Amino acid sequence: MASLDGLHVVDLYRNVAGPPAATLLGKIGAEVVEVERPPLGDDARFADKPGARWPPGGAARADRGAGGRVARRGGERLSVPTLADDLWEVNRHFQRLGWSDGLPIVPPTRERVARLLAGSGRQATDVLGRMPPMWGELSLERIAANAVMAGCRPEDMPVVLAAVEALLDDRFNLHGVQCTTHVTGPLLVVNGPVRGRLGLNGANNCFGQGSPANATIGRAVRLVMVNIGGARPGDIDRATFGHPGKYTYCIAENEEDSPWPPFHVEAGFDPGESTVTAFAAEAPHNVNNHTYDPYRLLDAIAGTIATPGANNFYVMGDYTVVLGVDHARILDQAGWKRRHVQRYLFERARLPVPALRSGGMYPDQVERNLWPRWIERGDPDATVPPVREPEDLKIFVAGGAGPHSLVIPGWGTRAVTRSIVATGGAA
Amino acid sequence: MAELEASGVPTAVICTTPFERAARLQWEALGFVEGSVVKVGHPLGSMPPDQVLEEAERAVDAIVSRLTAGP
Repeated sequence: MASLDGLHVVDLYRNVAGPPAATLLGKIGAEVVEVERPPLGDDARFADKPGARWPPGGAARADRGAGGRVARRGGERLSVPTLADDLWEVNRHFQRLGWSDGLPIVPPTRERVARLLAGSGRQATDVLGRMPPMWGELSLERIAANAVMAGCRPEDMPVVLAAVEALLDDRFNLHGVQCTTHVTGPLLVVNGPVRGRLGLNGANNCFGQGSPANATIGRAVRLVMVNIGGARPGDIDRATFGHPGKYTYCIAENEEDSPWPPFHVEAGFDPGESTVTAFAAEAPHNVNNHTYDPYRLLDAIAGTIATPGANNFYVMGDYTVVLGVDHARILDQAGWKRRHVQRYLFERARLPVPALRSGGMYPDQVERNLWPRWIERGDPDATVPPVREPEDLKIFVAGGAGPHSLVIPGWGTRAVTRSIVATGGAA
Repeated sequence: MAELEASGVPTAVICTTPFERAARLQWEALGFVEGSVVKVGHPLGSMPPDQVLEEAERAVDAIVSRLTAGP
């Protein structure tokens, strides 16, 4: 017989000291009733171990534990859910715990998470791996909870999952991307039939506001990076500035208005397949050019790429160029293919070694730069491209009508393309 | 480093002051509670070489003591 058998304890304490004390009393025989604040319960539910603070799945836990009152008997917790679906209270709570990108989230109730899981065609307990830098477990349930928070629909789930898998590829270097001081975040570019089915925008204002699938899929991936990966700004995400694409950064390629085969087809995927390409990207920078001459157009783009502030001129990796549809048409009409554009930009988008010696990242220590062997550091006439090989320039066609293209510097790592697995006709 | 620590080889994380918390949290996420982070002055990247040497002198004893600590 335990020493406190027959004793009733009501625990009204909050957070750190209360729950362990009440649990101890329960273990030695007392019947403990703990009263917690609605709608999500005591803070200790989310802080009982280091990995749980930035919800390695915390959203799903919050859903399960959504209770105004919790009782413990003999040391066990019995949840009595009385969720008050108060949007402001839920958001205040999530934001205080850091489970947020700052914008209001959709509360991840059990029912909503289940619907998104159904959209994924996979089990709640399936796991994609662990995500750095805090190594939260990427269970399907946790990813779905974050996708609900972002506002995703069930049919968006296959794209979210493929994007998360792309980030986990070593070539992307997610641990670095999550923690760096640099101004970088994953740009997601979607190809294939899934674009039309989900309404992913690759045309006018595709990088801007107004396209629900672009907005919510990119946001879901960011929330996964923060809430499961644990990259909380200021703590682990040490970005000096960050950039607006860290809220959401997802577009489609405008295959319909592109003169060339889609990006994923030239990368070896089947035209009927859908893919997502993840690229660790700075914010886009515009090239406004009204010429009809392909050489002059590409010189304008090359000149915009060749700037000493970009990481590429020191650590290489991949670089992304988004050609506007009007610019792509000018090039196509002159007989240019994607590979010709890559070749020309590789030759022209260069900085002279002396310029990098006087105004580069490591001015008088150019030997620190990760340049290919064939660049002679001591030659005053030598020039440095932004990438090691022409094909490391990733060329997409997107946007609406207008004399614009975009250049998007990388962080020094590789773009990764993953197939979007079809479920229920979603991909 | 986690692999080395797990196999009983002591290690030391060296980082500049603003990154101490990030280093510690990531270390703890891998299951290591003991702090093994040695702080040096910030910003190291743009510090003149003689000051870098001073920072190294300041940190070396702490690093040696961690690397020679028993299991």
